[in-house]
This record gives sequence, structure tokens and C-alpha cells, in this order.
Amino acid sequence: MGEPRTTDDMMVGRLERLIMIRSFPGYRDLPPDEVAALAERFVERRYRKGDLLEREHMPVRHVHFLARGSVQLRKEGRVLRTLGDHSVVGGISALSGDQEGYDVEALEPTVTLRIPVDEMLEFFEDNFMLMASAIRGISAEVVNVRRQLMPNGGFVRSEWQPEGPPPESLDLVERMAALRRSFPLEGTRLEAIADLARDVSERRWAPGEVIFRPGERPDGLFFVVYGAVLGTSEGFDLRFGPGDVVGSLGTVAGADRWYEARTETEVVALRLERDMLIDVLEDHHDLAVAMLRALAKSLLDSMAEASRQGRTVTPG
Amino acid sequence: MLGFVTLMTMMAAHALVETARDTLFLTNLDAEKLPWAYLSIAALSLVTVKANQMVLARTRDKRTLLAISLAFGGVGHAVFFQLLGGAREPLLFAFYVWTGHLATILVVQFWLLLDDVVTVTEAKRIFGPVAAGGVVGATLGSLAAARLLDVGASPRSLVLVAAGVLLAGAALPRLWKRGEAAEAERASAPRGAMTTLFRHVYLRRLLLLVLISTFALTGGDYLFKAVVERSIPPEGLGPFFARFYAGLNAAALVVQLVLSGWLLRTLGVNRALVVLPAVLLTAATSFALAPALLPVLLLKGADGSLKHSLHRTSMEVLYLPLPKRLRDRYKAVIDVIGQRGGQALVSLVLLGAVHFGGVGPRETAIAVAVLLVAWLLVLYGLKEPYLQLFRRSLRGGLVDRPGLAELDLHSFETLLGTLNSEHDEEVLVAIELFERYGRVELLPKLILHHPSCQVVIRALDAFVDAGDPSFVPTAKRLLGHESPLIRAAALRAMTSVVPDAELLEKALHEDQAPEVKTTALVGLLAAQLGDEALLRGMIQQCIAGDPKPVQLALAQAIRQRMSPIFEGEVAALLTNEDPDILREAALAAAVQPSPTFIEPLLLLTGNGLVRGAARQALVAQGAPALTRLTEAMGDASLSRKVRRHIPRTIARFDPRDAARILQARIPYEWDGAVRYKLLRAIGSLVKRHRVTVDRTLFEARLRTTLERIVRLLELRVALESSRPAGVPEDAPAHECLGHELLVATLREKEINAFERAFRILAILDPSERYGDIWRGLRTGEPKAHAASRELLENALRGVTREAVLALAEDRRDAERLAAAAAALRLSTTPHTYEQALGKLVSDASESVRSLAAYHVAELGLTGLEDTLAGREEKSTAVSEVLENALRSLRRSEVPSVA
Repeated sequence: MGEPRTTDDMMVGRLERLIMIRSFPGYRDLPPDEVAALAERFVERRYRKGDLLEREHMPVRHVHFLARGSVQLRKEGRVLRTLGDHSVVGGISALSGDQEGYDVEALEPTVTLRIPVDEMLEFFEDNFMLMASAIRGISAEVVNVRRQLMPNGGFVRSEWQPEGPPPESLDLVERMAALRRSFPLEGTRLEAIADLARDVSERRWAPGEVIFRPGERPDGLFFVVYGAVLGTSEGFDLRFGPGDVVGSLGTVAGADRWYEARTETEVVALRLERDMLIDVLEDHHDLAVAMLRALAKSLLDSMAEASRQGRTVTPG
Repeated sequence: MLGFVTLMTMMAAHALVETARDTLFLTNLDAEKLPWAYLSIAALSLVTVKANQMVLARTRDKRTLLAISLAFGGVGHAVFFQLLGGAREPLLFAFYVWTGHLATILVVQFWLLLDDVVTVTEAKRIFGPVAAGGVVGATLGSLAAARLLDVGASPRSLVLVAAGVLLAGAALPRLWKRGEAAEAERASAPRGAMTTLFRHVYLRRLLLLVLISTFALTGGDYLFKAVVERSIPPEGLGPFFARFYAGLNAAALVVQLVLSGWLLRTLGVNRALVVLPAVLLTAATSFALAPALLPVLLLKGADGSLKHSLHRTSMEVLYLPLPKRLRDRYKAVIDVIGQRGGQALVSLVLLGAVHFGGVGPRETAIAVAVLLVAWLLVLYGLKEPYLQLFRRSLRGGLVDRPGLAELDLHSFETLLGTLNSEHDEEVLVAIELFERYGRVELLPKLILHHPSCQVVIRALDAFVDAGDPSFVPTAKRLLGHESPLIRAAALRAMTSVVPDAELLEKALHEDQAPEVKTTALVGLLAAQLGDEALLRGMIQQCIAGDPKPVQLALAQAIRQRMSPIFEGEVAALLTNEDPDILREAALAAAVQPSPTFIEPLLLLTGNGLVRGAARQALVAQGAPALTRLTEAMGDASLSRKVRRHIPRTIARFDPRDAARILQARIPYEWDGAVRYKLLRAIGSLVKRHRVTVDRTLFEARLRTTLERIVRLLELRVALESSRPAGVPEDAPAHECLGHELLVATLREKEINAFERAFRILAILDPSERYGDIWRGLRTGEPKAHAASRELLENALRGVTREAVLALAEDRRDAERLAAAAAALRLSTTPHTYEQALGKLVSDASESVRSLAAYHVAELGLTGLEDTLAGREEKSTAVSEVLENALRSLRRSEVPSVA
């Protein structure tokens, strides 16, 4: 397509637009007709070097697909990231509901395809494949950033101490209550929780047993109902307790386990297969959106923490 | 209220000057001058509209503009009061133009201001009362005029009174709240204004409607005034007009207060707009058949009583679906051109006809009747664009566009250009699009020298699938490529289109890469070259224990050379655990169907990573697979994660067969999640393939779903508004976990059931966008909600319409319940807390039954112990909860939650 010199050279045609959008992860498996319909909803925006695509202290409302050029993300004077073409900009901030936003400055003549985040989510509802891909992609990013946040990986260390014996076998309502405590997502429907409660299986471990090891392919996530789980990896010291979900991000992202999870006490947990979670998300759009937003917020917080620690976060 | 008072003030002033104006004009001038007056009003108003837009661009506040206009009108009236002392013909003419022009502009400004702050639903509710303000004002003005004339005041003095009223009213607009979008869209006026007006189908038809209605109404008005002028002596004209207009305004007030809102809500805007022309048509036809004063009075009576009430309100609602920038720009233009221009044009035509053609009142009445028929036709043609605007507003202003563009020269150049992209992903998409367009022969063979392995392998696949051997000479070089994956892919591709034993033998013996050797094995076996037993044994070994890349190469090779001889190998690969290998195996199974593949493929639909390929393969298996899938839907022992994907798998088969099977399953499906998938799958078949469905089944289903919502609502209202007997007022009966979960679940069940109702509606009527309407109702954005309601009002009929609208209403739950139950003719009885729980432990939903049983135990309601004990529960999950609840009740203990 050649190297454009100015934004005037860079009009993005209909088919070109389709090709570009389809080349993004998650869009590759969609039927071309669907992508063509989506492409119509994007608005092409052109920027000169130095123009701001988004401004700090203003909430980001759009997702920009960078067709050509490159941009730099800055917050409070610090560079967060530099992104080149074929990157998506603004999605995380817009999804997380961050009211402060950030500066996004074009480093060269830049063309983006822009879509309001609400419209994007609406399209996701009809094309769950995209939603699943976005959830997977952001989860992978969160894992990537958290692996650089030693020693707690961005997790809040559980201070749980044994209180009485582990619960007996959990019935449906008790499983719902436990899942609800672990899914504090805004907009999570009980219907979805009830669906999950039917799909989870109860697992019990004695103290010192290994739940999973680093490098293993993830096949499920664990909602801790009782007990403490230690997560260990080089430079990391994690502890999970009731209400925490162990191995969730990696499972959703499809990334190999990156720490060892070993029980510290007797542990009762509910295990949910990744496919089951995805199925329930497909049936409950509100839950999927809530999860996407929570992941986006988690990523933004983790990046801010990394920035505070003076770490350079490498995009995954 | 402010709207009511403002309009009342404006119309009171106008009624005063209208009485003075008509009396002075008809006393001193011929009715034949009227067209010139109308024409002058139109011309002057167009200039004023333009000036208004310029002022608005500076002030950005329509309240200020209206206030200035009212004050200016008051001053103008005062000036005319002075000038009219020596009533001369040109001055009277100017006065007629001034009053008409002022009324036109003020009314347009008033409604534009109001349009900015309401949705269509609010408009239907408040436009009537606001318009009543206009009728009340006009009535008061007319009564005041009549009274003043009765006590000996001159018609001219009415003008001074009107001036005072307007000046006083100028203070009112500043008290309004500011229109939200006034600033945001100030700079977005469209270019090529008149072009847009004539190209935009809705604006064009709106203009036509205003024009034709004005033609008819002006014709009717002319007929009325001409007949009255002949029938009543000049000295009686003033009192006659004053009393007649007062009577009309009183009638209009009654219509506005009693009929207008009700008609708008029950008939909808489009049908409410039919009322006035229908009545006028009756009157005009009667006069044409039997000319007399009475039909003319009826005609003007309908005009006077309906035009400013029901008709005006409905017409204002017609502007609401327009984007604000279009409404601001064109409403005034349409009103001015349509009303005043129309008045002028039709008056000229009528006068010309009277003078030169000897046309009398009867012929005029016939012409008016013809115009009224045209009016009705335009209304009919306006309905669809009106609804289309709401549909577009729900879709963010987007119109449906065809999917993939045709491959023209420009598209082809784009595709070729994309092959040079530095992004491999783009190149891969371009190759796929060449395939999609069925033009792989145009894909340059040099793509096989692309630096990316992925691109080269994808291109080789594309050439093989197209069955075009012309790539082979270029691909030969790839056999020496450093990547074993590319060597294997090249060998696979070349020998697929041109079997070459020598090449395969050479690769098997000379290439050290296991991927290439495995590919060669498959090629030799497929071409039946070499020792079959030996080759098969080596392949089995590979399946049993080779590393993933080798097994994957084997699976890929088999997929491309798939034939019955590989049935065993594919069946074995289908039990592999790696998703990439499973995908290749499933695709191989799609190439060469076999009954042995069906069962493993069915189980693979539960695996999200390979579901797509598994579905494709199942469809390729044909009728036996469809039969197995149909059986599997009724197989309770099958894993839930597989069962829930069966409906959409079946939907991939022949649409008519699929629709038949899926519909037949609905009444028997026990799992709510699977039932929901059934609905979605059928909805998709209807949308994409327009399959016909059993309407009786879905209408019954819709009715059941709406009834279910009412019952859920009824029980939730009972739980929220009552307390269990014996629980003290200060005890936290509503704060315990069971209550909270149960109420939240019931609320969500209502929402889900309502969504299902919309899915059923979409199945019954695929021409309407019920998905968008549902989203509009759920957004919480008032305009989208109102647009959805408007579409529902037009799309639905009868009981369904009433019930759905009642449930969608933004009202208290108890009111929604009463309205929906009444619409569905369902009796509702107030339940005590215990009665509600007693019903809920037998609910169709597992989670509701479980939560209700849990809550019974939580509250220690031993009175319901027998109800719990008497349940024959099939669900294991619910049985566990019931047992726990009963145990707890018998121990009289409150269960704890982990």
C-alpha cells in the first residue's frame, strides 16, 4: 500500500478497511460479510503529526484502530506506551470507565478507524467470537503486566485464617452464594451465576497438595470457598483465600500457568472449565461486558502500578 | 406547565388580532386579496426564518429567540394600533400579512423549543396538554374579543390588547429549561439546504403533507369565508366570527382535553393524523352533494376544532424522529413554505378558477375533496419513512449496507496491493478474499516466495482448494526451503494436484524432517504407491507417539488427501487432545464423511476451540449426523456443555429441516439455557433464510412468555411489599440472603423472559428489527426508549401490543403488573409472603425453586414444610437444596452460607 507522506494520501477504501479490520486478532475468524458490515460503522479520522487523538482529563469514548502511523500515550507527563499501526488505542480506557483518560498524540501523519465503544459492544453482542477474543486478549495483557509486578502480581494478598471446619458438600444455592462473592462485577446477573453454579464442580484438597504447576496448560479456574492457596514463582509470593479466583486470567487468556498453586490449608474450591465460562458469557451479554470492563480496569490499574514502580511495561 | 402558559399567551393574543384582522379585512377588502396576503406572509416568513437561524447561531438559545420575537410582536401590534386609525386598504393588507407572519414564526419557534426537550413518548403525553394551552388561549382571546366588541369596543382596540398580552408573555420563555443539544449541534447545519429537503424522503413527504393539507384547509377556509360573506350581512360579520371562533376554540379545547391524548396513544401518530382529513372529506363531499351552510360550518368546525388540537399535536410528533440538525433547519422552512406558500398558491388557483372558469362553491368543494384524498394518500406513504427514522436512530443513524463489495477493478487493485503489505495478517486476509471471490487464479504465484511461512502455507492451501495446478512449477523451489513446515506444505500441495510417486519417495527417504516424512507417507498411501501395510504402520506409530508438530503435519496431509482409506486414522486423530490437531482432523472428516466420525464430532461441539470445524464436519456428514443430533437433544445423559450447542449446530443444516427439528424440540426442552439456544437458532434461520415457522406454536409461546412475565412480576411484587407472618416489623426479613437472591433472580427472570418475547416476535415478524427495539428499551437513554416504544406501537397489534407496551412502560411494578395483567385478561390476586414462597418452590426454574426452598428454611417457615416435603423433584441440584432446607426446618435452625 506504499508509504504515505501526508494524511491526504491516506484515505482508507472500503475493501482496504475490511482487510485492515479483519487482520486484527479475533476478527480473522469472522465471515467477511460480517466484517464488511462492521467496517461500515467505523469512521475514518486523519491526524497530522502532533495532533491529539484523545486528551487527558477527558474520558475516552472511542476505540481507534490505527490504520497508518503511530501514536504515543501519555499520562501526567509520563509516556505509557508507543503504538504503531495495527494497534488498537483507547479501548482499555473507554471500557474501564476511566474518567481521566490520557493524551494520545500522533507521532507522524496517522489514520485511524474510529468507533464509539458502546457501538463496539453492541456489535460484540451479535458476534460473540469478538467478545471472547477481546476478553482473551485483555486477559493476556493483564497477565503480561502482572507478571512484571513483583512480589504480589497485582493481587491483594488474602489474610484468611482458618475459622471452623470446611463446609460440607455445597448445594446449588450455596454454590451461587460462593460464586457471587467471587464475581463482584457490576451488572453480573444472578441468572448467569445460577448457570455457572450448575456448571462448576466441587474440589477438595488436603494441605500441601499442588493444584497446578507452572507451564501447564490451563483447563479451568478455581473459586476458593474455604482455605488458603499459595502461589509461588520466582520473585512472587501470592496467597489466595475465600472469595478469590485462582488461575482465572491465565485460563481465560489461554496462557500457560505461570506460578505454582499449592494448598496451605485444607481447601474447598469450585472448579469451572474455561469452555463453560465462555458458554455462560455467550448467553449472558451483560456478564461478558461486565467482565470485559473489569479486565480493562484491572489492566489500567496494573499499568499504573507498573508505572509507579518505574517499570517499563512491554506490550504482550 | 410553562409550555401551556406560553402557548396560551401567544394564542390568546393571536385570537384577539385574528378577530380584528378578519373583521377589518373582510369589511374593507375583497376576499380575492387573500392569496396575495398569503403569498406575502410566506415570502416574509422565509426571510424571517433565515434571520432566525442567524440570530440563533449567535445566541445559541431558542428561549432568547422566542422572548425577543414575542416582545417584537407586541411592539409591532402597538404600532399597527396607531396606524390603523386611518384604515386604508394597503395598511389593512399589511396588517393581515403582519399578523399571519407573526403567528407563523412564533408557533414554529415555540414548537422547535419544545421539540428539543422531549422524546416521542413524552411528546404524546405532554403535547396534548401543551397544545390545550393554545386552545385555551385562543378561546379566551376569542371570548375576550367578543365581549369587548359587545361592549362597544372597536376591532382596532383588540390589537392594542393583543400587544399588551404579547409583551407580558415575552418574560415567559426565559423560565424554560435550556434545550440540551442546542449548543452541541449548532454548527452542523447541512449544506445544500434545498437539495437536502427534496432528496430526503421523509422531509420531502413531510413537506408534501403540509402543502397538501394546507391546500385542502385553505380551500375549505376559502369556501367557508366565501359562503359566510354571501350569507351574513357585513355588520354581522364581527360578532359572527367572534362567536363562531369562540365556539370552535371551545370545541377544540374539549377535543384536546378529552380525545387528543387518548387518540394519540391508542391510534398512534399515523392513524391519529387520519382523523382530520377523514372528517373534512365527509363534510366536503356532503357540501358537494348538497350545497348548504351546514356542511360548510361542519367543515370549518372540524378544521377549527381538530387542526390546532389533535392534528397539530400529531404533526409536531412527526418532526421528532428527525435528527435535531435537520429539524432545526427544515421544520421552519416546511411550515412556512407548506403552510403560507400553500395558502397563497391554492388561493390564487381558487381565485383564478372563480374569475376565469366560473367555478362556484360546489366545484371548490369537489376540488377540496380531491385534495383530501391526496392528503390521506400522502399520510399512508409517510408511515414507513417515519418508522424508518426511528429504526435508524436505534442503530445510531446507520443504514443497512450490503456486505462484501463486488470485485471490481479497484477492489482487485486493492487486493493486489495488500499482498505487498508489511503486515502478514493483511496478506492472509487478502488471500482469503481471493478465495472468497472465487478468483484464486488471479493470485500471483510469486506469493509463494513470501518471507512468512504462514502466508506461503495459506497460499498453497488456496491453490490446492482451487484445484489449479499452475502453481506447481513455482512451488517446486519450496521443496528446498529451510523450513520443514514449508517443505511439507509444498510436498502436500504439489502431490495433491499432481500425484508424483518419485517426489514422495525422495522426500520420505532423503528429507530428515519428520513433518516432511509424514507428509510423504500420507501422499504415498493416498496414491496407493508402495507397501500399504508398512506405510499405514508408520502412520499409526506417528499417531501413537510423535510430537505435536509431526502429528499436526500428518493431520494436515490427511486433510488435503482425504479419502476413505484414511477413515481409521481420522477417527483416531479425533480423539487427540490438541485443538490444532483436532481441528485438522475435523476438517478431514468434513471432506470424506463416515458414520464413525459422527459421535466424536458431536462431542467436539462442546469444545469451544474446535467447535467451528466440528460443526462444519457434522454438516458434511449429512442426514445421519442430523438424525444423531436430533436424538442427542433429547438425551439427558449427554453433557450439558455439548447439549447447549446442538441447536446452533442443527441450524447449519438445510434451513427448512433445521427449523422443523428445532421447533419440534421447543415444547419438550427442559433446560432453560438450551431452550434459549433453540430460540436463537430459529431466529437466526428466520433472519438469514426466511424459513417459515409454525406461527401457532410461536404465538402460543409468546402468550405463555408474556404470562410468565406477569406471574414472575406478581410474585416479586408480593415478596417486596409484604412480610412473612410472625416476623416482627423490626426483624430483617428483607435483608437476608435468600430474599435478596430470590428477588434479584425473579427480576432477572422477568427481563430474560421479556427478551425471549422479543426473540419470538422477531421470529414471527422478521421484517421488524426487534433486536434493536429491545436494546433501545434497555439502554436507559430516553430517546432510544421512546423510539423503541414508537416502533412497538406501530408493529404490534391487539393483546400483544397492549401487554408488551404495559410491560415496557417506565412505571412502578404494581402499575405495570396491573396493566399487563389486564391486557392479557389474567386475574391477579394479592399474595401473602408465605403464599408467594409456596408458589415459588414449585416454579419452573431450578434456581427459583432452590432459592425459594432455601429462603423458607432461612426464615424457619415451618408452615411450608409440607409443601417442600411434598415436592417430587427431578433435578438433583434442587433435591439437594430441598433436603438441606427440610433438615434445617426440622432442626429449626437457620442454615449458614459458605
